[in-house]
Amino acid sequence: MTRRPSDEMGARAGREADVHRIKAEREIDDELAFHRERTIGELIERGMSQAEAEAEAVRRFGRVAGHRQRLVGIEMRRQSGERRRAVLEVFRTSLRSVWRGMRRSPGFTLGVMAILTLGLGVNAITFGLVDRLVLSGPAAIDEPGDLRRVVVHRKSRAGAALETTELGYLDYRDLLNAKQLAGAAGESGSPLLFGAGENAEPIQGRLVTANYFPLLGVSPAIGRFFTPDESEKDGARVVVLGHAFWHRRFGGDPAVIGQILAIESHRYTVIGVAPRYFTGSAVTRVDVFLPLEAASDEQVEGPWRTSRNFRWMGAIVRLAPGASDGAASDELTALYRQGYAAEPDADREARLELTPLNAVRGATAAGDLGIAALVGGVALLVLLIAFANVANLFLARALRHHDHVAIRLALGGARGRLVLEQATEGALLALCGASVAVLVAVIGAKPAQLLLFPDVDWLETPVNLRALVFIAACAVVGGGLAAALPMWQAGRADLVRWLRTGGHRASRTRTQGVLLLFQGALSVLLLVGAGLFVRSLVKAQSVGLGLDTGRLLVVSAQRGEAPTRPDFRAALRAVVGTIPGVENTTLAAGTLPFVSSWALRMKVPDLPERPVVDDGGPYVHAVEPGYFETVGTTIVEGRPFTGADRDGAPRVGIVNHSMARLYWPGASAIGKCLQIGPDNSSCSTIVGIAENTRRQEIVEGDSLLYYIPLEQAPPDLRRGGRLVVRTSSDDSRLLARISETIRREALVLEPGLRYVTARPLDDVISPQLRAWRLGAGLFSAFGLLALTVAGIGLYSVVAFDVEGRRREIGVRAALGASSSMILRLIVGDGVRLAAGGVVLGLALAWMLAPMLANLLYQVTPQDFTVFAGVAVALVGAAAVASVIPAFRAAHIEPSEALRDE
Amino acid sequence: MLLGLLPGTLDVLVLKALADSPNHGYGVARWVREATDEELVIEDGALYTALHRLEHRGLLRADWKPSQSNRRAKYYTLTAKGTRVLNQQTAAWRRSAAALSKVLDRSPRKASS
Repeated sequence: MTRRPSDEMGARAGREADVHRIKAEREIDDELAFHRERTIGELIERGMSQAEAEAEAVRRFGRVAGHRQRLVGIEMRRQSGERRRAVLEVFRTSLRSVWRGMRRSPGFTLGVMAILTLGLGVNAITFGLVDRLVLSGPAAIDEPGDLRRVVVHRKSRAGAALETTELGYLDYRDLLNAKQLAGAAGESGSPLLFGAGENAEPIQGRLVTANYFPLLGVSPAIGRFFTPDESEKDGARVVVLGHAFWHRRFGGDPAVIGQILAIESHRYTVIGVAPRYFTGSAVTRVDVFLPLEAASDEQVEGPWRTSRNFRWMGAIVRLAPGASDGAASDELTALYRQGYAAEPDADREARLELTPLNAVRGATAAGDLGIAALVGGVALLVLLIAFANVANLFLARALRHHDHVAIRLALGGARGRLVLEQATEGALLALCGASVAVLVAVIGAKPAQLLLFPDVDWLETPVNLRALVFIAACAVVGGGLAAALPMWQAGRADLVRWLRTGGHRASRTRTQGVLLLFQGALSVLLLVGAGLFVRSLVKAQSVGLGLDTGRLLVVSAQRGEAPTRPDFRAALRAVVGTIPGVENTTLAAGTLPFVSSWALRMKVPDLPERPVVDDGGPYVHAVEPGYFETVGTTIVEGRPFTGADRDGAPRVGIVNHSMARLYWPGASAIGKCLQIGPDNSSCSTIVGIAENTRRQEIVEGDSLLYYIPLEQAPPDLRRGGRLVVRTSSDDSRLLARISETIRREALVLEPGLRYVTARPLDDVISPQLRAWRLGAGLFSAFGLLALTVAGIGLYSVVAFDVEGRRREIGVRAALGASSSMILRLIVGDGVRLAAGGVVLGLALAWMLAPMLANLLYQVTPQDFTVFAGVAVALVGAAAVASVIPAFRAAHIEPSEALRDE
Repeated sequence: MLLGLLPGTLDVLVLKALADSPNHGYGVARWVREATDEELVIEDGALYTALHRLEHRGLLRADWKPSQSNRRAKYYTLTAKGTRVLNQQTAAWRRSAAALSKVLDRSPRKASS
């Protein structure tokens, strides 16, 4: 066997044209040499000398070079026509054979098509998702290839390495001076409240600097964008609507320009509408764009324009023509460090890096992108399994029709042709499957999009041209290979065996074994993924939240500019207390788990240098005495607040476990002093320690939290209290009914209310479990599917084996082997067959699983339990798949089996 | 006297040369030379061009076979389509030759005034 360096394979394709020319030239030269020889021979016979004859032959032929060139040209055209005809002929034969096959064994054809439709359909849907989220990135942007997001790598004050996109306003202004950039713009996402009263609606806002739109190269659908003066100087209240929002709320009416909209507690004038599909630098839905400076004046409290300690915005930059990422990030890093030169505790080693807008990994990758990549990967695995299964089906058919195949092969020279025919048949079937798959995708894409990525602004065509090309290519290449592979293999080793056994069935082929190995390995991969996600989900769900979230509703209300009832909150509380199913109510201000965070100026006289933690804090809760009992937080030491802890009484506080341990290690926090408010405030004596509760996320580190009685809280904090309602059960219908009643009653009490919701706390938390739920569901569904398919594959191979070994088994039985021995023999064979796949799959999973690491929670990607569990499950499945054929083997009658021959 | 070849005639000539039996290029050249008593000057190169063009158009089929001298030669065979074209062309040639001779045989008439 000759071996070629692999790079020559590629070059060979490039030299194909030359090869064709050489072939044509050889053909012509051979023909003309014959002509010349005969002419000279004849002339010499007529009496000419060799030299004379040669001269005469040349004279008769005419201009040799010219004629030859013309002939070669014609010959090349003829040969290429012939090649085309040969391909068409194969195509026709395959079409005929598909048609014949369909009539002869519709089960086979339908089986192949169904498997391919499934595999391709899943991929058609996910390709659309991956394409939108990862491959093409945000839509309607001019030359997105030059755009980058700025990522800061720095150390926090507590010394932990941070990777963040959050910059301060001054940091962003510094970027504007970079020579390596063609421009920079700032942005920040922000949920906003639009409208008032019954119709108030939470919307997605994006706060952007005036140069944002020009930087991304978009022009308004109608109207205009912000001017630098509007945003930078006095923060004009102007708004640009997102295209979809404009259509949804204003029916696409151009007269919207100039209208005044209520957003949060201010009025904004509509000046323009963004172009269709434009969602800024990310793919999530954007309803309105506001000038960053104007909106920040309202939302960010403090000197954010002049201090570097306010970091909340991100920056998008466009590289200058010819600038490299490396050079640009060096320059930006220098500018950034220069900006912080005068700051006392800034990280001198901080670095700025640039990443593409649609980066899948790293700090800038939105969770959606990682999930999209994951879904895409899983879909590809499903496709591979489908193709492996199709290959198996084709192989089984080839084995059934082995006489026909063997004869055709024995006739010689036909193998390439046979392989090509099979490949075409496979590709054709796959294309049929692909057409159905595309239909499935057109119908199924929308639900999949909404289920997997509810926040993304989807384009209207779920299956675009790129997706069609991708699916068609997958179908042709995969279908062709899957169908041709068995025939390729047949051409090699099995031919001789087929012929030697005189047309009797031989034992299973190596290809079958390889396909089983492959399917088994892929099933293991998927099941390991499933196991890892299920474990993460279980872990995340059982995290001690320190709260009884299932039975809590949080009422948020925003009052209008002229509230009519000063006692609204108390009145609402009184009404809510009478609603059937409500067990308890309490008011809480400041920090509320998963809802809001609040910090007050606070000093600890015992600690001149307070320990710093990464997520800031300590955060303050201002609560009523009944709060702990209502939300289900336990006081682990000391006492809760009582009615006696009122305004004017000695000030008291409760700290959470983490704060107690960090501030007073080795000592009890009870009786210690917190100075809350101005420096000369009196001590709030710590009277209790509460268990840790989560602040924002299920999977965050423990926050430093403390509690003060609501009545002793500063007045501005007290005013913002929320009503927390505990219900008698966590039944979702009851919760829905109560929250609707609360909404209605609230609007009765205060008709001018801008906004009111009563949300179950679990609804707030459950999106945080989405990635694991999704991963667990996706991997489990596909993993079980793969396992079933692999099990059927194993079953058919073992059954096939038993059929081929009837004689051998008969002999064993005749020699006294008991049924159970034969049973063990066959099941053992099946398990051994599967074992290879399991080992390979576990090895692959071991290597690939770390890619999932940052999607998992408290589970190492190489979790032993998961790996062991999957191995056991697969071996068990293999045993089950082998049992039926094994029973059949065990009941073979020796006399019959031996008489068969 | 040596004659030049009228345009379009070469193809018909080649088809005719192969009408009875398959032959190789050399054989066709020789047949043409003999059949026209060497009065037509046809370069062998042009003859081959015609053969290949006709093959490409599907009027001829070519196969490599051992020749009488036992050396491999490319033999051309008239296809069914080739036979049809030859017959059509022959008929057309006859008609136009007859018409032309009629014109040429006629005595010149004086222009009427």
